[in-house]
Amino acid sequence: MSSTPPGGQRTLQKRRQAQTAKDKQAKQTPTSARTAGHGGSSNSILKIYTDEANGLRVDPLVVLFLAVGFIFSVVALHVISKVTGKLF
Amino acid sequence: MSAGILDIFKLFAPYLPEVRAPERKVPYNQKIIWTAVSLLIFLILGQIPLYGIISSETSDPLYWLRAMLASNRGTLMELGVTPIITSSMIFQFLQGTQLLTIQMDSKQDRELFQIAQKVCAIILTFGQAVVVVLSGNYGNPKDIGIAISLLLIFQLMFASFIVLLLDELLSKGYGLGSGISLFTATNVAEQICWKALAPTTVNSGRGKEFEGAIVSFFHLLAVRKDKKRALVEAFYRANLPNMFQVLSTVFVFLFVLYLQGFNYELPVRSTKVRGSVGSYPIKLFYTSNTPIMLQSALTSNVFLISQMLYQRFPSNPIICTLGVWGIKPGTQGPQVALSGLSYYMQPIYSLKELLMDPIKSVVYIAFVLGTCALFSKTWIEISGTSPKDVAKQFKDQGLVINGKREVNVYRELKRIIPTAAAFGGATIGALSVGSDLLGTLGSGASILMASTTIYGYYETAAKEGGFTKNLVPGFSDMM
Repeated sequence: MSSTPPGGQRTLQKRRQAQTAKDKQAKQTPTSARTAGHGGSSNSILKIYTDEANGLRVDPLVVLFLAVGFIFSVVALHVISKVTGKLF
Repeated sequence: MSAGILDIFKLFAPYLPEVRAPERKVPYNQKIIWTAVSLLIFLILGQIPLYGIISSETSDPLYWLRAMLASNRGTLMELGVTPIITSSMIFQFLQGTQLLTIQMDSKQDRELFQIAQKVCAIILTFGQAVVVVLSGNYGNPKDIGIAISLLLIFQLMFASFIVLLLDELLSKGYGLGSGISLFTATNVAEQICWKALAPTTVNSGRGKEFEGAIVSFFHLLAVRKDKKRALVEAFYRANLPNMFQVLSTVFVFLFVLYLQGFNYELPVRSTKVRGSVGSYPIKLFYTSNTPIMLQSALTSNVFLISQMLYQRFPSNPIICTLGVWGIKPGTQGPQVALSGLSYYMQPIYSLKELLMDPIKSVVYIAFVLGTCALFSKTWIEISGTSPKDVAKQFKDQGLVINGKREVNVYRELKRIIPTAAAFGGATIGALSVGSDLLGTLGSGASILMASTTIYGYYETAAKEGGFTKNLVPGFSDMM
C-alpha cells in the first residue's frame, strides 16, 4: 500500500485537469449566433431550438403519440360524419 | 431596455411544452429512425383533409408560396411551417439589426430568446388560422357555422403545434438537422416525384392521358402503333409534364450537387495544440439556399399583394403599374402577371419567352442575380458568419491561418468571405433562372432548395459517421 503525501505535483495536475474540464463545459455552450444554430455556411438557416429551456419537459415519444392521436381523431371525425350521413 | 421586452415572455415559460434534450449523444441509427418517423407523420398530416370544409374551390391566394412553406391546400398542413419560419425570421432580423441585444453566451438570454420565438410562432398560428377560416377559404363562415369554424381553427392550430414540436425534436439532437428545411425539401421532392410518376389520368379531348411523365412515356410506347411519334409526344407534350422536364430536373440536380463541392480551403493550424493542422473550407454556396429562399419569399409577397390589389381595384393606374393579372391566352393555368412590375419579376419558363421579350429577360435576370447576391451579403452579417465573426471564432478556438500572422486573419477572411458569399448568391440565382428556363418539374428555386438541403443532410450524416468516407478530410478533426 503506497500512500503519497498530500500536495505537490499531482494535486496541481489534478486541479489543472478539473479546470480544463470546466472550461470545456463552458465552451460547449454556444458563444455566437452561429454556434447557437443560426449557421450561414451550414446547411440550415432555421435551426432554432437547440437549447434547453426549463418549461414543461416532454419526452419525444409523447410528441409522436400526440401526433398519431391527433391524426386518428381527425380521421375518426371524417368517418363519423360519413357514417351518420349514411344512417340518417 | 430590449431585454425588458423579452422578459415578458418569461411568464409563458412554465406552460410551454418543450422536447427534452437527449442526455447523451443519440446513435446514428436512432437519429435516422427519428428523422424518418417525424417525416412520415408530417407527410400524413399533409394528406388528411380538414374536417368541416365545404369547398376549397376559390382561387388559391398563396399559390406562389406553397412549395416553399411545405403547405398543402385544404389539408391539416394548410399553414405548413409558415408560422415557425415567420417567427424565427422576425426574431433573427431583430437580433441581426441589434434591435434586440442578446448575449449569446448567457444561457438565460438564449432560453428567453427561444421561448419568445415559440410564443410568437403560436400567436402567429392562431392569427393565420383565424384569417384563413374567416376569409372564406373553406366556404363562407356563415354557412359553415360557429362550431365548425372553431373546430377548423383548432385543427389548424394543433397541426401547426405538432409541426413545431416535431421540428424541435429533430433539431434538439434526435434527428439529423433542422426539421423545417427537411419538411420543405420533402414537400418539393414529393411534388417532383408526383409529376414524374403520377398515375392519374387527364382527358383533354384526345382520350385519356397519364399525368406522370415517366408513366405516360411507357404507356404511349406500349399503346401507340407509331413508336416514333409516340416518343416525340412523350418528350415534347406541352400540356402535361414530359420526359424532357424529367431529364432537365435530373441534370439540374446533379449540377447543383457538383457545384456544392466547390470550396476554398484555408490552411489553418492551431496555436493551442502544436502541430495540429487542418483546413477551414469556405464553400462557394457560403449561405447555402438562404438567398434563393429570401428572393422567392420577396417575389411571392410582391405577387400576392399585387394580385390582391388588382382584384380590388382593377382600373387604378398605380396598381396597374404594379401588375396586371389575368390568365394567359392559350392556357388554363393559374393567373399570371401580364404587364407591370410583377411581369418583370415573373420567372421565364421557356427559351421562346426569353427571346420574345428580350428587355424583360435582361431585367429579370439582372433582378434575380442582383437580389440573390445582395441577400447573400446581407445574410452573412445577420447570421453571424461575416469575416469579423469568423475571425473572432478563430481567435476563440486558437486557430490561425498557416503562413500568415495572427493579426492578418481578419484581413485574409475579409478578402475571401464576402466575395464567396456574393458570388455564391449570384450563382444560386443563375441556377434558379437556368432551371426555370430548362423547364424543370417544379420551380428552379424549389429544386435548388431541395438539393441543397439534401446535400446538407448528407454532409451531416457523413460527419456523424454514417458513411465511412469523410467529405472534407481534416476538417472534422479540427472542430
